[in-house]
Amino acid sequence: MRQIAIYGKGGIGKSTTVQNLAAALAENGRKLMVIGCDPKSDCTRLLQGGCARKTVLEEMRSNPQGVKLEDILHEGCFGIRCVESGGPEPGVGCAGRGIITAINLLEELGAYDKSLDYVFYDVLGDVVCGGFAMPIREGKAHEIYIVASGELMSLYAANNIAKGIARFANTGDVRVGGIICNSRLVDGEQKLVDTFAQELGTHTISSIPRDNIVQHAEIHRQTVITYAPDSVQAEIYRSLGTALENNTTFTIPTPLTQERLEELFMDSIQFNNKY
Amino acid sequence: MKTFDSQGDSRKLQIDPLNMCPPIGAIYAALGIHACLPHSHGASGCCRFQRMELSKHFQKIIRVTSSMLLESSAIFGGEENLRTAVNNAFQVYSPEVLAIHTTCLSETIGDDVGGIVKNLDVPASRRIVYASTPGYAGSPLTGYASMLEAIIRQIPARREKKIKKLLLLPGMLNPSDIGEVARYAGLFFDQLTVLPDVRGVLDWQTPRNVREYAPGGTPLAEIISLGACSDAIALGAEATAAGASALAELNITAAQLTVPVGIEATDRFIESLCRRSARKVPDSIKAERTRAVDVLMHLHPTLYHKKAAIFCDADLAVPLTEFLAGIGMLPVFVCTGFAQKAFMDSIRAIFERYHIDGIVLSQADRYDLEQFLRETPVDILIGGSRGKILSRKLGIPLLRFGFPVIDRPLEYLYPYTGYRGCLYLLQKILCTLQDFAEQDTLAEDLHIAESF
Repeated sequence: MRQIAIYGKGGIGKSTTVQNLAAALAENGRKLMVIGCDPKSDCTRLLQGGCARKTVLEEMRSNPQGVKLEDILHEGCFGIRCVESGGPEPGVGCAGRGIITAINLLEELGAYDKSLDYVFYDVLGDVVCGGFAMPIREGKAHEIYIVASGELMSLYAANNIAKGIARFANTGDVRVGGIICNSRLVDGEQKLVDTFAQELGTHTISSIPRDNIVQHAEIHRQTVITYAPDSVQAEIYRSLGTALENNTTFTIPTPLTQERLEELFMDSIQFNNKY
Repeated sequence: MKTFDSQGDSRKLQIDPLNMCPPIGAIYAALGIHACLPHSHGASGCCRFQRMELSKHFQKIIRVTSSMLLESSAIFGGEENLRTAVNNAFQVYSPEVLAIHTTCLSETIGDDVGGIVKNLDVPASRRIVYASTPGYAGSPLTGYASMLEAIIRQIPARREKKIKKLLLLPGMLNPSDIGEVARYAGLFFDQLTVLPDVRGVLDWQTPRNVREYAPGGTPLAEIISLGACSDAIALGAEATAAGASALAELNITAAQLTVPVGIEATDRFIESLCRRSARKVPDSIKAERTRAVDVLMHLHPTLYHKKAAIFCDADLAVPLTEFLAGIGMLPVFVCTGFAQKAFMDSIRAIFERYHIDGIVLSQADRYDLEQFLRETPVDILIGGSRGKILSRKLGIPLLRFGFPVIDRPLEYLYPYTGYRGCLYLLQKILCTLQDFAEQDTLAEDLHIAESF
């Protein structure tokens, strides 16, 4: 059972990528569980055909002692098991603690079935407190993929997240498996992200081109794999699945300095010689 | 089944809660290891009040160190404080084992204590254990259970050669009760480990020198070789079930029993010891049982259908209810603070078996207890010291039982477990009732002799 955590700047396309990736893997016969670690609880919408029924924390709140696995573990497309941790609405409470509590409960209820091939943790963009690192604590995810684009802020965030990951990687078994480039059609994006990945001590495992079909599928509450299975984009997600399956590059990240990061971007636009 | 609702659903707050928080149990368990220093990873106020509760119950100094988390720790994480604290603790207090438990604060900010501990410099031949015990989730029994499980998962060596030895997990009991259950176990097994064992720690004067430790507690060497035990018995599900299931990793199957308060529960304990040791029940135990039953038969009429309301920890409440029901009393109201679902099921099963029209509540508070008692007077109230106000207000005698008993000294020296414990419990019940019956009698009307 491979446990994989996905991090990345808020809005960069983590959930979209994870769900499409999961669908691709499951279509190919893999047994998966996707655990949404985001109080917005929107991490499995495309797999379940709509925003879920009760989240783990909602269920715990209304039924403190009697939560059963079947109340919170729902089956999505291709038999993917979907769980949403849930959490407080914006501006109140502590979502991080919510993640800790939800994952503990999943463990207690035996959600981590040994027969699973993959468990994906889709984690909220801003890893602002200890709770959001719960998926990469000892005994959970061993691999992390960071979703990024060629935008400065996206790589800045990825670099920042890598600092936090480095701490866990240095004391435990978790490693970075790669950067997933979710394209925003930035000038020289591929090279930028590749260089960044390399200096971070990892690689770009896959690049997802920008394609509106993804948005269309989302509006229809589906992944591209079910919405347009014969499309080029679907094939790309399938290749991401293959790349992930066969990945052997697992490293402790070496975060860049602020100066180096900005230098990368400066070099990039100068290289492209647009202005 | 009777139902009871002190505006339960419309009332969103707890009024005078029935239980304290998990770290207290974690500290209790930790103190049962020899030369162990419990450490609270939290702000300073936390362990201060928890130490006080234990101090008051045992009337002695309880030493617990603290990470002293400040506002900056809340914002930036508590790792730095914990590192410094651990270094200081080993240097200044020189414990053999440092047992860290978390608090509301460290759990909410999400400190990865396990990850931090992995990279600490632990002096040679010393150990650190760490348990997750958020104060807002559970009772002292929950915290005790987490610490016990942590000890079992983190200290013992793997692959020990098995010998005929019993591992006894006594649960959160007073030292005298641990003594009783260990005494019985010792009659069946030549080799015995009690984990954790607060005898010689909590019923012993705290050494003045902060680098010295009381002689009691399970020795570290015994915990390291825990895997050598062939059998295990765990008493009290809330306190010991988690630890008991962790024993599977050491190839030990533990029998989970209720705490042996009362004849039936003690019978079950003896039976389990008998079966696992393949030894016959010694005559001394048979004699104890005979005496207990004889006395019971004799006193039974005086106690028959006397009503009781019980408010104590779940692990004690279950066998106590069973015992009182079994001797013909009516435990009509049993309540506890946080408890697991099994508690409700166990009590309901007892009510059904003895045809008692009773009420059981968990997640209850003293307000629930008061509302019930106003509707349905009982003859005796059984629980901790904090029940004395209700006792006085409503004119119902209180039998101090369980944890904590903080307004009478030395309560922890007398065992309620075992057959002899039955007799002591019976004596206490009757004396409490008799004292109460006589309290308003005029001097000249007092009887010198009473027959029971």
